[in-house]
Amino acid sequence: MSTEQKFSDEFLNAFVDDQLSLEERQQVYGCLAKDDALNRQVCELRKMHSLVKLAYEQPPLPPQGLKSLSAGRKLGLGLAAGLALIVGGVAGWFLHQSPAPPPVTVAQATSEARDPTKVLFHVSDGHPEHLRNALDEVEGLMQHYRKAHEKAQVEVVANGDGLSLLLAGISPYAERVRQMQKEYPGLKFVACQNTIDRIQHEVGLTVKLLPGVEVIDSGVAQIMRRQQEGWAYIQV
Amino acid sequence: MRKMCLLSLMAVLSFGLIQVNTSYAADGDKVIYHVNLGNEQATDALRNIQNHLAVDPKVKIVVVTHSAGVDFLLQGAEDKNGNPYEGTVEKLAAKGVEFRVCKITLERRHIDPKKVIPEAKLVPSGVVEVTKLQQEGYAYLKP
Repeated sequence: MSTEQKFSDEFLNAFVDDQLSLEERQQVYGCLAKDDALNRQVCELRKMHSLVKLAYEQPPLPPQGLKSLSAGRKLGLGLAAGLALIVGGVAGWFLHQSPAPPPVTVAQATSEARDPTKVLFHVSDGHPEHLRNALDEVEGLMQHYRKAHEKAQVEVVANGDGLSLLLAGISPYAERVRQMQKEYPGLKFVACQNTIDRIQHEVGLTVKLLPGVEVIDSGVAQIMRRQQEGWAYIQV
Repeated sequence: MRKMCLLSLMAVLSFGLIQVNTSYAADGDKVIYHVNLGNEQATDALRNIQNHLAVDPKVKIVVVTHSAGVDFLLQGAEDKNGNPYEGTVEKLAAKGVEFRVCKITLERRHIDPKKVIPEAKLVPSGVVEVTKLQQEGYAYLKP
């Protein structure tokens, strides 16, 4: 069965961009496990997306590109910004003379405007105790951000012996991984395609991943890309 | 008038960008040494740090420990040859190296915080600390 018939390029792009619903994603994962060509296609797309992101990473401001707005909107925005400056200046002058403004409002405004914290956990050791420690650390961090009401995006990238964490029928913590995926929407488990290929060639085993696990071309490349994108990196 | 407003907006935005860039350039090297595997890894880390300081005396080093990595910062801790860790830690601390210990680990492993040597400082979570420091521009090293 050819890939092109199954998913359109647009659909796969949406998949790579993480814009699909859970059901649609599961549909793709199901096919990824069986279809080598599709796997390669998705890897290529991911690579391209990362390159595009890298190329356009600087400058980080403004968050909403002016380019996408029409000329009229630009002028409107300019006018609005100018007005805001004047209003802000005047308000600042009066506030300056009145008692101190409530600090709570300021704190809320900054925490809402901030990007989510992004953290990549790298798991490359397959010892069950290490895997358990790694999951403990990931869960501890997720709980910390939940308590602090901070948004967090966390990726657990498994490669080498660490991939055993994500292998169906092999992982000692399949159930815990499932629970954590369900509990924390900002958490993703990611498997390295290079390692999968190596296992399939060397052991002759058909690798089956736990449900909901994503595949990236190379764990090492992913670590490099994510750090260039400003993610924190922790090896556990 | 409208053009002026747009220009002033641009000026404010670009001024913000310039400020960010210069603050990056002013920083020296800052490095996290992440220790979570135990004393053997800690011995490697301390040796690496001594060499690091020999090559780059101005580098700012923070050692973040959690899990089994806190052990070498407890009172009376010795390496496998029976040498106490505290002397080396003291020397490095005098050179500006900071040592941080994860509170969650102490609670989880029922270790009395008083057993942590005075050169080390407690932090709420080792993993959160590693994340925060990287956001402040620290590089990450795992010995």
